[in-house]
Amino acid sequence: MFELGGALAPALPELAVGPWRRAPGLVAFDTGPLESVWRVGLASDLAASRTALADGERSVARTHAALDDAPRRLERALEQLLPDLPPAARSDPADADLAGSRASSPGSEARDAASSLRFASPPESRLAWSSADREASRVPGEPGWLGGALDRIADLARGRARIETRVDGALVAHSLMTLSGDTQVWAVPRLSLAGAQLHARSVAIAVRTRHAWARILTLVVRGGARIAALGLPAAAIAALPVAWRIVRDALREANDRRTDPA
Amino acid sequence: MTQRAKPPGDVTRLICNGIDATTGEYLVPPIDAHRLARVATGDRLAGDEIADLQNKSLQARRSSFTVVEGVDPNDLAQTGWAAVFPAVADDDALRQAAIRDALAPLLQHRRAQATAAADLYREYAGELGYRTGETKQQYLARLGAGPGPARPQKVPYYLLLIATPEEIPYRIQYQLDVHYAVGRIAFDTFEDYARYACSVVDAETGRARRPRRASFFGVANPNDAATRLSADHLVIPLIEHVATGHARHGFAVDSHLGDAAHRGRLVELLGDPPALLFTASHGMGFPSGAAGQRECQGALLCQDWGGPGAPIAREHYLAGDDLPTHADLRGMISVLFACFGAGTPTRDEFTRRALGEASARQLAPASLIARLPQRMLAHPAGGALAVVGHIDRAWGSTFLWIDAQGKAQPRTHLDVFESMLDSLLAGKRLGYAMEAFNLRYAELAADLSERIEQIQLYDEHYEDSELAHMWICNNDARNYAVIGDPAVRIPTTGEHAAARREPFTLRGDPRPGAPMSEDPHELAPRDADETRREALEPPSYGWFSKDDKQPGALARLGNKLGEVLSEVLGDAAVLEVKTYTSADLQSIAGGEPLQTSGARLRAYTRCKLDGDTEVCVPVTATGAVDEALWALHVEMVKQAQAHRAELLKTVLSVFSSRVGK
Repeated sequence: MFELGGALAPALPELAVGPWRRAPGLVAFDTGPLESVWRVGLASDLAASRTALADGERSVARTHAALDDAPRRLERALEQLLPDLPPAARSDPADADLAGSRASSPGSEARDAASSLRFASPPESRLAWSSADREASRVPGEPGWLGGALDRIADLARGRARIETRVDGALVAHSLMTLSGDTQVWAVPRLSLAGAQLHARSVAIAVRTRHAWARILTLVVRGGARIAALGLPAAAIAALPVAWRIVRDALREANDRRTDPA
Repeated sequence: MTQRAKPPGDVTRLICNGIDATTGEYLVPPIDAHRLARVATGDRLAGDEIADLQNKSLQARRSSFTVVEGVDPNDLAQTGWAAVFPAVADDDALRQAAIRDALAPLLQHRRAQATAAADLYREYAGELGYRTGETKQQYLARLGAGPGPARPQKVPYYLLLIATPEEIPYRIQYQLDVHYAVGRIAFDTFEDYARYACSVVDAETGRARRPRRASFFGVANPNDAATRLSADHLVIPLIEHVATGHARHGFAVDSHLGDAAHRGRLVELLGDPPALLFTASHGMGFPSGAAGQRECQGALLCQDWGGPGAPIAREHYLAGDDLPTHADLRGMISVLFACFGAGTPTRDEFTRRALGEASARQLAPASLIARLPQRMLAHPAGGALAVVGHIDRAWGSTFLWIDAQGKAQPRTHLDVFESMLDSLLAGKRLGYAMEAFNLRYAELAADLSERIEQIQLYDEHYEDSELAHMWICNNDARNYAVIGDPAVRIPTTGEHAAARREPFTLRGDPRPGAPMSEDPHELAPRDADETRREALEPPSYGWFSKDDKQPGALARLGNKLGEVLSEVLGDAAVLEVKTYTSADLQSIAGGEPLQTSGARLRAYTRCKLDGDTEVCVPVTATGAVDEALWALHVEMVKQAQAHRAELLKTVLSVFSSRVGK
């Protein structure tokens, strides 16, 4: 069982990143505004615990793989949007650093998102939004939701992470890791070697997930900046929602592949 | 301008500053005091408004504080700061959210200041936004506050209304201003909001600096009593006051009076703006809905005009469109003494009551914020901090005190202006500096109400001129308003030079091939070519663009990500991992301090960037290494190092396209 709580978690978007599920009620008493709580609940059966952790590790790996693919999705979406634009004007060399080797075609939602930039309001009604912009920004339903969600993601990425490992409900170890990696670990006095390994793996899954959130933020902001820089009508307003949808699609498809019966 | 005009001896004729753009005549003919007196007796304030004003007036007599006892009104950490939005329908919510996003740099900046000691930062929007038709007291009650001095824990002292005067009426701004420091912004485009936000932050963080200069621009049109009076009895005395009183603050004063106060000179002044610009002139008034009204209502009529009755040409006055394209106004505060200098209400209270029109004359199809201050605040090359101006007509009574009973000669009375300028030049926040005007309004309104009550209840004798003058003074004092953030201020001498150097921050120039900078101030000085170019180009939406002039959400996220990355780099020199044991982990997880939790430090690793490493290994009671704990500790060190490496990789990937190309 992987639960993400703390002051930041309830504001996070409904998006599966790694094996974690939000636990709004999970709040440490000293949780400040920039601290997230990551709880790994394991069984006393060591083999079952190791299996659960292995599943968690695979889930985070899938998330990172999906994020590797996100820059390419953005490229494809821009290609479809602006077929006449030279590749140099669209490409961002930094993407190569973040992208992995896998490639896939962008989802239909990403294409729709990018094409929504075409149907912008005329310049004279500068405060009006196009219907496409509205739709893109209303994920999942409230005005300004996306901006707030990305804010929370940034807070999650830079805040302290408190990672707890529990075996049969009992807290056996917990760690506090700051953004820069400074770490404090607390363990019960007679922690077994196996218990130590379980906590170390729990921490690794949490930290890798936090890093995934940082990558999501980076991808969305950089993608949004590039879309905005194209100078299309309404790009300034719709850039972030469009970039968000492209990244979100990539993550959803990764999750769908995991849950596919085939 | 060698001999000053004498104040008018006829106290039964009252003059205001405003010229009809279509006729070249006064907007309002000099008004007969007898008629105004009748207006005054019929113009009574609501009971709660009187109580509020009397409260303020009493408070002013007792002490000088404007917020509750013990709060420094210039310290945002104590006073708090709030953005006030109107409560809007769903259709407008998106627009409001986008405005909020565009203002993000300013909101973040104020949030940091207003939460330094306690959380005194608020954004009143949605359910907490102002609802159409609410009185000030009803609105404050919804926010948890009541009449009386500001209590920042309930409602912050500094309130920025982010709304058109149709959404939050000027009336509410006046009334809130009695006890709070209030300003207003409303622009036509998101880009304008973003420009204003960035300009204020630039000025307050030392990225943009103005020369410590106060410029006075006093028009005195031929045969025009109004501007002759304002030049002689307002501008010149203020120049003398500032020149003698503020040299110690390092302020230079320059003046542009009479023949020198022509439009070309004002344009030049704005091309090389001072920290403080004070102008006194007529403001242009157009018929409601006339072509040109939206762009030119309240524009400053300069010396180029030939006086009452002479035709007025477009080149005689300075409007928002006339600001030089290269004018970097960041860091400037302007005080525009002119009719409609800050805005125009829909209806004309003065003429309705004074001239006996059957119904209020419409001044504009909808209440306006004057275009000139809007353009000054959102100028593409850098916006001003704020503009102080007049809503509706400006009257000479602000600076010329007339003995109501005609027993003494009128005399110059500049306390409110001097107080405001003294405060501003001493580095006080604008909203607080405006307290002198608010106190004057409160005192005059309370006095007027009391006097009318005496007359009506006890049939006391009164002079028409007495009541007329009190009524004009009261309305005139009320109508001064701040367009801009009321918390802005002119920095004191050497403030930014002495300021702590900002932490290492990566800032990228969006232009391909441009180098990175570690110095946040390096980009501060703008040459004329650069500002001219930027004024002509659309705003940049680039990643970490210079001056942070990006669309709101992108800018905010970019800045936040920049903070994340800067934190990583700032702490990259040392990595520390500590491992403790404790029999009561739950209490530690619950926040109990280490000292009292019984936790023991068992293993410790400190790695420096240069390779130096300190390690403490845990041992058991027999002296053997505690293998389980050591394994955990070693694994955590590895993870901490891996985590840092991943983050650094992210940093490099983000910036590689800017640095490495």
